[in-house]
Amino acid sequence: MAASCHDADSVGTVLVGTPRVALVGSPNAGKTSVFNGLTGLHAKTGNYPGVTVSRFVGTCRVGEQKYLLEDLPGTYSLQPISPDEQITVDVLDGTLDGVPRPEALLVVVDATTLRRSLVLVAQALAKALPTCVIVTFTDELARRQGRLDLDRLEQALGVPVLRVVAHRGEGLPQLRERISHWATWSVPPIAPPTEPVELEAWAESILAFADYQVGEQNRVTQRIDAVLLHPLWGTLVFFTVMMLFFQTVFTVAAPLQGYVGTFFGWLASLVHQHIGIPWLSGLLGDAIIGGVGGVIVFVPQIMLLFLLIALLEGVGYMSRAAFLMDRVMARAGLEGRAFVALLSSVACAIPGIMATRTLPSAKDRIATMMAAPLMTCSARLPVYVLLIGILVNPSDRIGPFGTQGVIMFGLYLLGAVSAMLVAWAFKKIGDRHGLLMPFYMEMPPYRIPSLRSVLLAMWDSARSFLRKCSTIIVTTTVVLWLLLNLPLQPTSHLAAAGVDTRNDTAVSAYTVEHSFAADLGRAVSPVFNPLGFDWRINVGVLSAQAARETFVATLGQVASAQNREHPADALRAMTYTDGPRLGQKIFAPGTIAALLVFFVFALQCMATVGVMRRETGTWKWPAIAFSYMFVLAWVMAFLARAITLGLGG
Amino acid sequence: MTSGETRSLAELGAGRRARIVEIVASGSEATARRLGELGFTPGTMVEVVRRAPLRDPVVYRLKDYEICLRRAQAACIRTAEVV
Amino acid sequence: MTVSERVTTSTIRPVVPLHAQSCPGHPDELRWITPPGLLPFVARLATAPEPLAALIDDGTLAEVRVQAGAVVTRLGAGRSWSGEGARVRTALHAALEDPAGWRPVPAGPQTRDERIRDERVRDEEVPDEQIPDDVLLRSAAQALLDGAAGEFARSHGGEIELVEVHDGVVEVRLRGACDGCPAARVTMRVRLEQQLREQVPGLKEIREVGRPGPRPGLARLRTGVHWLVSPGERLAPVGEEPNGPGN
Repeated sequence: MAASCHDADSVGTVLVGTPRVALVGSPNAGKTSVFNGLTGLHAKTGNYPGVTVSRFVGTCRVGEQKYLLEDLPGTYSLQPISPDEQITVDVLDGTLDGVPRPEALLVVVDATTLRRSLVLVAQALAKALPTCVIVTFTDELARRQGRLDLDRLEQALGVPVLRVVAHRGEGLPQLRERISHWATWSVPPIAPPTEPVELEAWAESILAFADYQVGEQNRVTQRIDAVLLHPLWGTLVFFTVMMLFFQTVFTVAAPLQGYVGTFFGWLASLVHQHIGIPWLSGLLGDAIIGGVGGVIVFVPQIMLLFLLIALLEGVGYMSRAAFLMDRVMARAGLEGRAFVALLSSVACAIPGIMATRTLPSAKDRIATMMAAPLMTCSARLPVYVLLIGILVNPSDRIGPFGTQGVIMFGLYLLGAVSAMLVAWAFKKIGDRHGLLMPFYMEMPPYRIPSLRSVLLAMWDSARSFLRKCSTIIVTTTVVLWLLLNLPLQPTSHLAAAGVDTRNDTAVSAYTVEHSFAADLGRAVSPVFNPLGFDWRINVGVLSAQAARETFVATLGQVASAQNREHPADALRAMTYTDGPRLGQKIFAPGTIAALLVFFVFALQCMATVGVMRRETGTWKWPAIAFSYMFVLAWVMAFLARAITLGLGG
Repeated sequence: MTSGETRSLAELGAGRRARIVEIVASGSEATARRLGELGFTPGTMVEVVRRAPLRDPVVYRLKDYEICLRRAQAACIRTAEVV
Repeated sequence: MTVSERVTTSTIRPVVPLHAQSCPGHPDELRWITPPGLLPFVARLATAPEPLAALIDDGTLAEVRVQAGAVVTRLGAGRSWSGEGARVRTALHAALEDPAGWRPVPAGPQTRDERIRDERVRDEEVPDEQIPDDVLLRSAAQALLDGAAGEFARSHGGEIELVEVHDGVVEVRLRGACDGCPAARVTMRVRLEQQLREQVPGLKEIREVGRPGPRPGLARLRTGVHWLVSPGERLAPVGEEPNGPGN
């Protein structure tokens, strides 16, 4: 057996000679719990080469021997009808470049859905690999007064059959023991039938021989669903759950993020205190420490969102939520499950984009990823607050509502509607070549999720984010710092310009105004002039590439040089220093409208770009996203300005 | 029990039970095959559990489990209703 | 046991549940598990419906034997199951739809020597006569009680004890939580009887014999409040101390 030394996605270096065991099973069968039970923290997430499909590989040690376990994507069938499903089949056949064929196969089936699951078992046995069937949820079967004779099932199938109750850890030691004897697993005397009628007869015969009784339906699930899927109550509960989901992130993650920010701010100030050379302390403190802090600050949010998603998914509510939202999502060419990804993006696009992994269709994943950044994320809020504050008085009203609130709501709505339209567009383009996937979604019984799996999902999300996205975020922060702070202004130069060298704010303002970034800002003026931006706004927009909220800080740097007490007033008073609008106020309604709309549409967060790159495995999609959003932002901003001016603003 | 008359699964209301007669997925062999693999095979009993608030998708119960399909897929499944 | 129905718009044809198991020690044979009672005899096969007969004629199969709840097929010389398995299965499916077309080799008494020489009698084959071998029956029943059927009873805090086997009648005694419990009777009957009958079709019946005498705690049972006996608590025969709860 050939074993490559280097996996295509660097999920792990393969030791030649390490036996590989693959796990197959339908979604909701408890396969991942078994995988987690065997591998624990020794698992890594990656992608299969060239596609957006997640790959989970881990190691399991039995005595002296190490085994490589691969948790293949959950599927109902090994006859692929999509490129994603083809991956699983290719792995099992050994035809996927860079992914060696497994030595043995574990088929995980849910004891309560055995009647349907035997189809997958039959297809797995046809792969002619040493196979062991793992039956999960036998405790649930027993609770429902069901029956299953595992020894008879083993006799009927001709392969080893093991019982595992993963969340209790039952059966795992026996499974490990079995895995070590993979070469001696018994094989069926003949392969199961492939013809559907014969296959069904085969399955019924096996079930009868194994004395299989499924027992009563799950009463608890039925009763809960009567409420949760009720047209009225169900929808109410759904919106409540979504709101809570959402609110939790703000109320719990936000303070944690605050602590992270404070900690890194303190670190930076330490650096400033103890390193006398201003440029070095700036580079270390603001750029590097600031950059790292800018990565870590996402972690509480990501972990919390993935914790909630894992909980909802584990309990079984996710499919109910998707069921309720499916019709709405179908309008955009998506499906119910995309709702959660888009909703998560309202907090931050990063976990939202990562959450697209739950979508079975690759085209859906791409379309949702392209649309997710348009959902109004929390980083845009400081920008909106600042600009709306300049634009409109707090006391202004439209009808019974405060104008400020109305505009804010309007921006959120604009984001959401645009996201749906963009998703629809990308889906349309993606579906051009036919192959419309049929929609189906299992509604599993409500279960108490395994705490271990939930925590592992949370941990895994944070770890893969940190591994793959830190570089790009830190790099962007450092580059922008350099652009904004170089060239360094020697003291003599500052004095000659009339700047008070002891006033740090004045010094930094002068530095920014004469920095490379400023040069860049001036250089791109022709592009942004029609929008009413002057070079200082351009610089702010540029710095927002690292993170949107730095727009406020950058502008603040400029403004507070002029009015330390009330930077907003300073901004209001700023006038064009050159060009055709010389002397006019910059932050006039037209420009503010353009700026707001620009922020709605532009992809300004390199962290988002990084995550897109990680999820799709290529730079192509982030590049497409960046470009289309830039064009869209420009056009819409122009329109916004034109409309505002037309309305007499 | 079976008459000559078959109705598509999409036409059945909530709470109805029917036996599948055949799967006709005009133009999509993949859909027909996948439905079969999900348990929608001739002779299988299906129960319509509930519809979504906006009428689509619909939850069905068959072979000891529950699954929801959109109208487009349910329309492929011809059934004979069991009284 | 139900047969799957294949419903087409024109006809309803039953498709027989069928799966193959290997025969330990005989790689050239496969045991195909069929619904019990489908074929009305147990013997070597003389004539079969067409698809199956064709396989015998062309040498794919050397022999077909019918057992209780199973059909055993033996490959012809030079054949393999990987090559012929699917064909045999399809032929069997078709042939089993016509049970009347299966005719046994006419029954003649086998000598004891013949039976012993035919080593399979020990573990699988059923003699042509309908009188079951009590020895066979006893060992089969004991094996089941040591295994699946007994396990089930033990998991409910009870026990089934084999008392006597004679003339095709198996006598058992129920102890513990099983005792007096209506569900136990059903369970016992269904599981034990079904499985035993599969192996030894000549089984006449399973009979429950009376309790060995009044025991402490029996009064609780007589009042019908048998749930006072906690699972795992075994009622001991007269003269012994009852075990404490939880065995």
